[in-house]
Amino acid sequence: MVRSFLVLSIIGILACQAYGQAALSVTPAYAVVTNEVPYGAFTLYNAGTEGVEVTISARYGAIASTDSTTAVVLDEAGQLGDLTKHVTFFPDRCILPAGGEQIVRYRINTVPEGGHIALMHFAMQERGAIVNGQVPAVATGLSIVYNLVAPLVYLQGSGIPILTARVLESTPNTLHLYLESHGPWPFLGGIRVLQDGQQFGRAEAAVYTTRLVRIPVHQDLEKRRVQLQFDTEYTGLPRSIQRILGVPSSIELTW
Amino acid sequence: MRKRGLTTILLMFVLRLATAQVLMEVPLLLEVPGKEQMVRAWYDGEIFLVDGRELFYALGFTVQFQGAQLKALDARHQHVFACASLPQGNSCKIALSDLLSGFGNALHFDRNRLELRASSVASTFNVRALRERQSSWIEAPGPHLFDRTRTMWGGLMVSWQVRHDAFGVRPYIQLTGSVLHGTVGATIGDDYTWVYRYDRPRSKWLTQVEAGRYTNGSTGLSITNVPLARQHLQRVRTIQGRTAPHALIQAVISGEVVDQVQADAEGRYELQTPVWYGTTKLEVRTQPLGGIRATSELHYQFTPTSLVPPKKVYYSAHVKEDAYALNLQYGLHERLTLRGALSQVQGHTEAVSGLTLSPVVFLVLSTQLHLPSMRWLTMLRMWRSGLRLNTYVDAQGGEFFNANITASASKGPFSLLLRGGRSVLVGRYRSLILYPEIWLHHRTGLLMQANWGFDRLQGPLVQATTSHSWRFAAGWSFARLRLVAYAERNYTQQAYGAEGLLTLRHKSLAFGAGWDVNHQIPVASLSIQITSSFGSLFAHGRRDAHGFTHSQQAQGSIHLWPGVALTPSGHQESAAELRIFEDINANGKQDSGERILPHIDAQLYQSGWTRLKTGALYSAHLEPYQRYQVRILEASIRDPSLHPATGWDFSFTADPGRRKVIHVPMQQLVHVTGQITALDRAPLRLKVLLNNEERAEVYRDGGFALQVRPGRYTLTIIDVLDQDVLAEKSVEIGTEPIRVTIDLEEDRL
Repeated sequence: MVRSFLVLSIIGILACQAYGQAALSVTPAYAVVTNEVPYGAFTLYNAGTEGVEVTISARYGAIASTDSTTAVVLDEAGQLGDLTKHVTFFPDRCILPAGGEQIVRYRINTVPEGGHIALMHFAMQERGAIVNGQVPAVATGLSIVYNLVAPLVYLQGSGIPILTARVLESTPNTLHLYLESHGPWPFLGGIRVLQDGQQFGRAEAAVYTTRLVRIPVHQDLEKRRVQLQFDTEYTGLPRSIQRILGVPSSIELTW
Repeated sequence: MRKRGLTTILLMFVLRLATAQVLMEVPLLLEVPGKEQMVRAWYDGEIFLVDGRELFYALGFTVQFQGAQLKALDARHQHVFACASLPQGNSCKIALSDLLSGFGNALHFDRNRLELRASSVASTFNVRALRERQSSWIEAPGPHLFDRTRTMWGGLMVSWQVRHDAFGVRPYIQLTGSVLHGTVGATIGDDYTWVYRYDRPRSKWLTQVEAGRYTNGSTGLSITNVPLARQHLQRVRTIQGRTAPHALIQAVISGEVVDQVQADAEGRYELQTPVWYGTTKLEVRTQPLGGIRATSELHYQFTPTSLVPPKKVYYSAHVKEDAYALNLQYGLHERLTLRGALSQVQGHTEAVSGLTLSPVVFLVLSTQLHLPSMRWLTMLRMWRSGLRLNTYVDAQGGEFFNANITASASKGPFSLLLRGGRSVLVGRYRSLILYPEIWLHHRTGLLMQANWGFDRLQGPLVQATTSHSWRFAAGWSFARLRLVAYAERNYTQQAYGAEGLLTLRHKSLAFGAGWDVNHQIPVASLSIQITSSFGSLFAHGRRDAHGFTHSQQAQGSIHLWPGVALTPSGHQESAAELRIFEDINANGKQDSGERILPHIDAQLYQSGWTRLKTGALYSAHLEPYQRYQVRILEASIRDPSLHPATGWDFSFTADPGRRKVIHVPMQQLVHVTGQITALDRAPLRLKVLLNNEERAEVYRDGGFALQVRPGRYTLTIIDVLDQDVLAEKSVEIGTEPIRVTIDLEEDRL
């Protein structure tokens, strides 16, 4: 098992400023597609003033958490299938001038039942100016590569995610949870914290394997006993996909 | 002591001489919009010197030497610089600091990168000439794909109308077709006419031939060389504006980008756009730097169509059974056209001589004298932003016969219209008419209209009589409904009522109902238009105060099969149908089994598409001979391996009176990844040529990527800075992706 951890900032923001002049953004920040519409596109946009080279690749993996950090994990995604064997995309390399836009189209071929994932990596490198006296080795070597990662999830059929949860920490304002998925279906939606039927807080999360979730609560949970209820309302997720994603059963937590 | 002093002076002189001669030659990269070039430069440790001749040639100037000075000239500018030493071999070194102070902020020198960058908004030299944008302003429409295809049979439109009024029932049919490599128009009603036209839009001496039978039953022939579409450039208009700092600005005419600049640090920009004879519709797109979407605004540039380009002669000649006519126009100046005509109708010969003058771009004056009748006609037209004025004066024998004026002005939600005239009628009766009108279209939906009419008639046998008319209407405009209440009085009735227009998806209903208080009877009108997939129907009925002007009419269309339709209007409609299909065998043709891909979207600049049931995209009401640009929207293509054989952007020219079918084959391209090895220079300097045509960029690691059709190709590596051809390799590309390695040593030419 090979694990590679990259910093969370480059996952979540999905837009970065490189070398002061080149700035690449990828939209959407994630994509969930189904067998009914097994295709889509990411749009790359260089909002900076310098050209960039972008290399695009699909890697098997997921965004997962330990007890303290959340990061990109490669070559492992729990019970989610490997989508990289089934995805075709174009192009795999492009040059974006300042203000330039590139559409990366993808299509999913036949996939077995269940949820599958691929992490689309967009490796950005500043292109720089053409300088006559530049030595080839220097020209190719001195550069910083920024990676943007957008999860691409494919659902073949429908199913209900199986989640377990435990409380890591409870403060008067926040409840820190650790969620684990135990099935072939990812969870994307809202997590509501209830105590005696009253809702204390809600947060959205995507749980592919494991995920740290911080839920703001408006009252101290003194009884140290809550119920977690789930829904499929997730920012940017189309309603057609929300209908396919099942709602996990509620979880009773004490600590 | 004296000897030591002399030695010291000599040493200092030698040292100074030696120091002055140490000039390190450095390559300076000159970046001007659209191209890059190396220019020789020198550095002596303190100042930079640049080769003036090379530099000014690169900036598009003509270079002259006058003693120790270099003079750089272009059509509008003249710059003089002092050479650092006497010119040798047509070479003159200029201090870069002199150059930069001479050109202001139009040039930027990056001392660390050794780059001299020209601003795209420079006014001290002709950046646009450097970009070779002038080539897009050629006199005739530029090259385009999908040229007109002439056919023996290209479709037929049948328009029909049935009208019932006080004169009885009158059917009317009009046929318009694209047949016999030209167009045919025929009308069948109380009388019948037919006309056949053959046009040659690019011809200089004969643009259209027309023959047929006309309304009075006479047959005839016409020829002309008057351009069928805009062809000649009248002027170049400078458009200045202000927007976000450093925003990208594009000037687009007919979907073609004719100029592109970047706003300066204060957001100011200056575009230069061509203006053709006739109307030029200009779209200015503004995209803030870093902004995602561009916004656009429209400008219209008018040039009187009655003006003829300088040194051009336009003629039109008509010959009928009992008449002939010849009209000639000659462009003496871009603002002055001379005209003359000779005609004979039923033995009566008349000659006309006149001119059209446009002293300023918003005013045109036409005057002509008819001989031997000595009738004199003068017309004045003026248009400014929000103001238009048309006047017409007719005189004979030193006496005015008719004078008409139409003026309109608009400001914000208000528009004002004034019509008036003075006429001399039969029997020396004189009529004076004045008809002012004011409209209010408020953004909230409020509509108001008020007009008043004054008519005074005076003659030798009757006393002067004056009559007035008026109308006041007010209402509201909703998204789908417009409702207006009105009160009006004219010469025959005084009525109060309401009228409205209801628009639904496939039908619209216009109605009006009122009460004539003079005659105590209702007045009404009703129009309905229904559109369905099987056809459309438009019916209109009207009844006014006297009953004898009642009328009913119906017209419609029936869709039979592609190419043949019964349509409600008889004009020469130009349309385009875009069939984007999967070209499985990659032969460029739509064979049976190669289906239209109905999910692929395309953008048509300055118009829009509707999706047909077949999956094709359709656009009607295009302007004949106009060039339209299409962009296939990449995000709508589901299969990442499919690419349009036409490219993502292409253009076509709309044909008059017919539907142009444009096939866009979507083909599977093969992915070629490549790597350049044994690099002896920075990879960014290199480009890959495919069969000496298409270019691909080279990445920082020496890689490149291509998407091509199967076949045999020659890949050539060139250096863009010194234009050296470095290496070449032939590859055979099948249906599977391949990887190519080009070694700059092994594959060197």
